[in-house]
Amino acid sequence: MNEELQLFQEDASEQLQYMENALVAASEEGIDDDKIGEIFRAMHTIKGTAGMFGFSSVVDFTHIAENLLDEVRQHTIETNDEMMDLFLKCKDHCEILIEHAINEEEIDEETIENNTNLLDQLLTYMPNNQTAIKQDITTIQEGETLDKIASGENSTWHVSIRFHEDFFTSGMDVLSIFNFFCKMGEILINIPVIDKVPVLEKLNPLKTAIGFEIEFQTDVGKEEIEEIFEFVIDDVTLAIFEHDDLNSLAALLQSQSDDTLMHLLEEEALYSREELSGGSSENTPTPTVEVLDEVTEEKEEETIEVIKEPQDNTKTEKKVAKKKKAEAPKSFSLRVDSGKVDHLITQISEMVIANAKITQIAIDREDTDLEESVSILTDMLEDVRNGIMNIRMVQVEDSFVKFRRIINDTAKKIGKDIDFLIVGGETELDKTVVEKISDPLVHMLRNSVDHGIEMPDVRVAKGKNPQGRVELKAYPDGGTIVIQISDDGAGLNKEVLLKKAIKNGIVSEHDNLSDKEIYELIFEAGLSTAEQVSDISGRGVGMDVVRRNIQDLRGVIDIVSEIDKGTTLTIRLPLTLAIIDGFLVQAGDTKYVIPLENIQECIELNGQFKETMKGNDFINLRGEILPILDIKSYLNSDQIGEEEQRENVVVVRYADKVIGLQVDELYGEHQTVIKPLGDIFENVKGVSGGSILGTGEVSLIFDIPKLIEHRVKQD
Amino acid sequence: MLLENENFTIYEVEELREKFVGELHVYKDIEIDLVNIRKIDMPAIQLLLSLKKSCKEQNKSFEIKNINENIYKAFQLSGCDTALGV
Repeated sequence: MNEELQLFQEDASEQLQYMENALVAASEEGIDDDKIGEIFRAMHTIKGTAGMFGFSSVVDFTHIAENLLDEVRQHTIETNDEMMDLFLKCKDHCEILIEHAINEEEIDEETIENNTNLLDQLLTYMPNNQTAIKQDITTIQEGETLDKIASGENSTWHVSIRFHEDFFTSGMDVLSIFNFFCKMGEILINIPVIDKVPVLEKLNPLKTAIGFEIEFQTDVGKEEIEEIFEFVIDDVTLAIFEHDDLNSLAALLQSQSDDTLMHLLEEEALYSREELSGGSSENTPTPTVEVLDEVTEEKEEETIEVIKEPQDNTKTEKKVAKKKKAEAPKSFSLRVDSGKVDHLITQISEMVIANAKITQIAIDREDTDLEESVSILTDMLEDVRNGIMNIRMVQVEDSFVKFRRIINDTAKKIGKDIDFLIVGGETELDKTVVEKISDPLVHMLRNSVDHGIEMPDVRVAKGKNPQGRVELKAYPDGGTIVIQISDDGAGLNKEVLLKKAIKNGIVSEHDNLSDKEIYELIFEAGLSTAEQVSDISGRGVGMDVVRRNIQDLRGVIDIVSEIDKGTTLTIRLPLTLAIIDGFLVQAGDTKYVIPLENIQECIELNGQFKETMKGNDFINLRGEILPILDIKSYLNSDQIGEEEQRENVVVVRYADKVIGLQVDELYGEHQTVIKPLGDIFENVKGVSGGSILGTGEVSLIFDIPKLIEHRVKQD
Repeated sequence: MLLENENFTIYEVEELREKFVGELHVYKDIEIDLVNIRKIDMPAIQLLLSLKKSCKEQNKSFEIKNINENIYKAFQLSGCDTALGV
């Protein structure tokens, strides 16, 4: 798939998502102008971009839907829930049409039938426009213009297009652009500018040399004409102005290096000699134009931009704003291939390692100047690193909102009534993590609705609200992101679970399992089978996959359940995947990195503490019992430190558990690039990766949740 | 000169340019037969414009014949019908 098409696909799925979000919100919170506006804009954008690629099936369909939305937007037609349902179906249908178009597949009969049905339903809401729209359909079928029927005054625009020389190889055909012009209005005159097209011997046929000067009649505004070029804006130089805006014409001519364009426009009788020589410019002597892209850039001096008043008919009342060419008009969002960001992260990781090396050299040489410079560099590097990491962070809201529909659909299908709550949608998480967590979440949410929440009559019998509640919550906690799915359903039946697990040979009858361990059985593959009974039936299907996906993201999943009260699944995920802020310590001969986010405090393990320990693995920390894990004996039992050496305890926390790690040396903060360890370390519990230090030594990164789990189990 | 492919697009232009350059030296007048062509794009149209420019420079006549409806529409849409003399 070429880059433009891929962009289209991404953009379309984003727009479809906006549309769905607005529709679902409308069905829950009621329909209002904002939501209709959002749906309209999304439909409009899809129509626009699909048109650029010549995806007529998508354009034709969205055009009708957009017409109805426009009427709704202007309050000429009233909305109702049925109509919202219809728009939801239209959204789904659009998705299918777009998929067909992108894959260049032939549209199957079912889709065609669905297309006709949906169009008929849309048209029933627009009895007044029926003739016009029916005419629309025939017009489209005959391949003529779409919007000519649209009311509104036509104006004639002059569009000057020059392409970057690599435009042809960008995958977008110029003819498609012209086709889209035809959908928006009428090309009155199209003059190819061929003075730059060389003779055959000198021609590189893959390089674009041709340009165009177009007279275009349409009832749409300049912005909509510009939208035609949305996907290729970096590859074209454009000037768009109303035909009789002679100031803009003068500016366009001035931007040319010679008079060729002027002669061409005169020869083709687009403009008279007077108009071209600026005959009418006496009133406003300064040539003014807002020229997109490179026409502006080619001129080295300041350009002057004209901002027209929205209702300005006189053209003489203009606000003139001076502006330097390099200044961007406003902040805009940029779509970048995520691979580029990943590449930057890798590079930054290497820089962090290199920087650590320089820091070490500075320390070894006792060169204070160098140390100071390196310290500045380290701070800056951290800023850059955070900045780049931040690019990848997205709010989970957008991803969560789409679950709303899945919940609604599943609930509707099985006759349950569910109140779905999203809490903490503004929480930010790495985009890759959000994408990878999406499927497991869908699975767990479906389970909650399908098997957790009881049928309304059962709930009433239990004295519960007939409407079930499923909550999806996200919040940051101690350097991790917690995602929680809770329901107020039937809860997990421990006995049934245990029985099933024993029957399947997952655990033996003699195993003495805690509640937590029993609940965790739902993550075992093959626990749930068809013959399983009652409300836990189905739980466990694919839950092993869910757990694996979460573990792949270095996350953990936890489960709490109570009969008739409900079940809560808690997922904890690391904020980032590549570089962490660590704390460097040493135990025995080996250096370790503890993720800074897990550290609560560091204390010296002095004689007083040791006395209270009395050979146990606990100390009394301000009246609280703190379990201690001696790292040397846990990982490095052969090497016992010298007796006189100062010993330290790093107090670490994960979720609600706190333990102390007993180590020898504390070195302080360390930017840590996580490097995966080889397979032979796979079974070393408590180590999640390695990192290269400035000295070239390898340090091991502690997996705090695993260490805590190990220590807690010991008790 | 008969173009044998069905498509005359960016994928064919390099090869066809070579062919045109060769034939331009051989023939006095250039006639391009598009009878087989079903699909055309802007790189191809640009190549024809360039060929026409060469013909003019070398005082040779240039003609395109057997243009089917779709191809003709493409010429019209791009405004190149006049420039190509079709």
